[in-house]
Amino acid sequence: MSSRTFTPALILCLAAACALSAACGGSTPRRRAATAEAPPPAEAPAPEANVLPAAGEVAARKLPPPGVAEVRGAVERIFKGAVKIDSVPSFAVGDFNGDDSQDLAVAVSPSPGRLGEMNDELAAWIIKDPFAPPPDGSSSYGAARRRALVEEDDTLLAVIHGYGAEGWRDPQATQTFVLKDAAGQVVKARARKVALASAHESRLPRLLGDVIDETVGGRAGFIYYDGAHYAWHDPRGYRKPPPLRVVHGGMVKAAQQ
Amino acid sequence: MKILKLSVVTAVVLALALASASRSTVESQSMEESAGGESHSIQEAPTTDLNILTDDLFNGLGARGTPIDECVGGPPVPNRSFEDNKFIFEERETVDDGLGPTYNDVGCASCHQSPETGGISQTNELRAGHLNSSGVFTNPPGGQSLIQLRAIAAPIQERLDNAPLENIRTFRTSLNVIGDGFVEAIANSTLTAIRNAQPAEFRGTIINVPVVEANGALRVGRFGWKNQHASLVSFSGDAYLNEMGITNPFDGNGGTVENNSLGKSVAAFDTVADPEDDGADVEAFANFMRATRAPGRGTLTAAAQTGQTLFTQINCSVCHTPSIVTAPAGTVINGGAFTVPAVLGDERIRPFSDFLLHNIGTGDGIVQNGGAATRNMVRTPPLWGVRMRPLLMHDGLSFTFNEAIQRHAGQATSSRNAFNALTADQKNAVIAFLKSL
Repeated sequence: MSSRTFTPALILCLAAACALSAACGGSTPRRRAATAEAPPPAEAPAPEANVLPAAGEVAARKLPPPGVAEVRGAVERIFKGAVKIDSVPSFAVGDFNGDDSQDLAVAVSPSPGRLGEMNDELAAWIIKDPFAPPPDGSSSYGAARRRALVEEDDTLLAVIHGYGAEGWRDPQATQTFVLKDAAGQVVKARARKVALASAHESRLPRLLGDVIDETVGGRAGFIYYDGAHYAWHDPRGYRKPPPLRVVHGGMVKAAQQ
Repeated sequence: MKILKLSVVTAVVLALALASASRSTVESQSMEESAGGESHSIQEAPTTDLNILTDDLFNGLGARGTPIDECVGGPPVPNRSFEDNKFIFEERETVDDGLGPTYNDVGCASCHQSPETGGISQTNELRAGHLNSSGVFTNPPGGQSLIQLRAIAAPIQERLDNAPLENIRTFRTSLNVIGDGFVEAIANSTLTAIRNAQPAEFRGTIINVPVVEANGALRVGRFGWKNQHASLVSFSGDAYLNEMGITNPFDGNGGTVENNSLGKSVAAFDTVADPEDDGADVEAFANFMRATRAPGRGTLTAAAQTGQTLFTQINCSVCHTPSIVTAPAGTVINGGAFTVPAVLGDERIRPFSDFLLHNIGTGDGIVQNGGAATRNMVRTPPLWGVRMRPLLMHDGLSFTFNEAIQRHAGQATSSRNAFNALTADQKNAVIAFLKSL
């Protein structure tokens, strides 16, 4: 073989070897030693038990009744002046989200000139309209897809979720839902078990925690937490959840027209 | 002779260049010590840009094959190539294949699709149950919390009207499975080390779950909203039965038990002999997932970089762990049923998850493989690819990143409060960072 034919042949062979090596590189283990991974560890008890109270602990613990000054303090901690509360505030405490930590529900209204802060996309609270009718596929009032905005003359119910044994008094307790037009004349908590005893379970929505009894616009009912939202329950108007189905927006629109 | 030498040198240089180019997405390589104390060469896992128009889903595990065209090359052959397995993952099952009698959808890609096969979808599944008189979570009649939302015949449609006592009800969003091969390749010891390094306030919970294909050998759970699976074969076998109604040897029941309709037999509607799949499809699903690259990042703006720093400073990264290294290639995992291949071994992934269970106050109330203590825990969802997800949290009921952050409570309380203490610009930077994932 002359060097003229040998050289291209050699290059071809080397290139083929390279291509082969590159192609196989992905599937050839770089490390052939067959080492079995370590067995799983012994399971530890739920660690948050060290931080958060165990189920029932708060209920068993006698927390002092809430005072007006500490209610004002909690509202100020969250809203920093963006809302105001009445001189005689209307409020109630209970475990509304069912996490065994005491929550606070208090009637507030937006402070003059602070609507921008209230409705800020980055606000430290979640605004919901608990009366928004349930969308298709959901049984919960308040689960509407439209974003609720606070308006100047709204009466709001702020629900401040508790944290740990001290509940809403804990400085870390800041998770807050702002419920639009949801503050009736009297805000009153009712224990979950009492609410459950008031009607057959099939006539009630799923209750995670205590409920907030209200009479709003002449309608008596309660506000409850469904895991993601606060929703309104009207005992007279309650209907069973609609069947779950996929609905295409265009089809609904067409049907309505 | 001079020409010959020059040619040899050129060929060697070419060889080196080719070898390094064969992993075009490798960003860096470093030496790190594994949990066992051995040093390994760690590479950045290859990523997809999450754009269906870019052909970059395949990570190089096994043969690539060619896209299946049944009219030309005949039907797909399970586990022959990535393209075969992808086709099977995308395939729509029919009643003749064993679909149903109760089921959720007709194919894997019906729920795992956007933007590419294996991604997410807007499909939510429904789970339900109740607490018994002792306060213990109890499944609905029929023995499982999943309520199948479809059926092949009206009389067997599952609906909660038929089970009014099941007052614990929750939605679960469909998960992304792109890159899950890397997650499977994370060693038990790595997840344990992550947990042990977390401060008590944030510390996650590990559950050990059976690997069906290894006769129930236990491994640290990492797949599903409740970490109910540790291997992709078990995960796929479960989904084939419970999401599509197709019995198979990896479904946890030996492929012999069809789902019922809230306790009511569906035998009269079940015309296909069990097991309805011999296991080949399940292995094809698992091997498809194993052969996908990890979800890649979007545009990393200056704001996103600032946001990433803040994300770490306010401790979101304790649970949304930015980086994990998979077990070395050759490690035997899944109770002996799978050996980590080179493509998946010693790879650094950026999942932004610790794959552990936490209680962040969102609950969901359902117990699966983890026991009663896990009732209100969910797995830290990996944030890789979250820029594709418009419905957030396990139930898909938060529509903006801020709303999702505000729903974080329980073990995430201090991080949420730290976020709320940021300035508007800083909050926007964190959100810009999330939009880059």
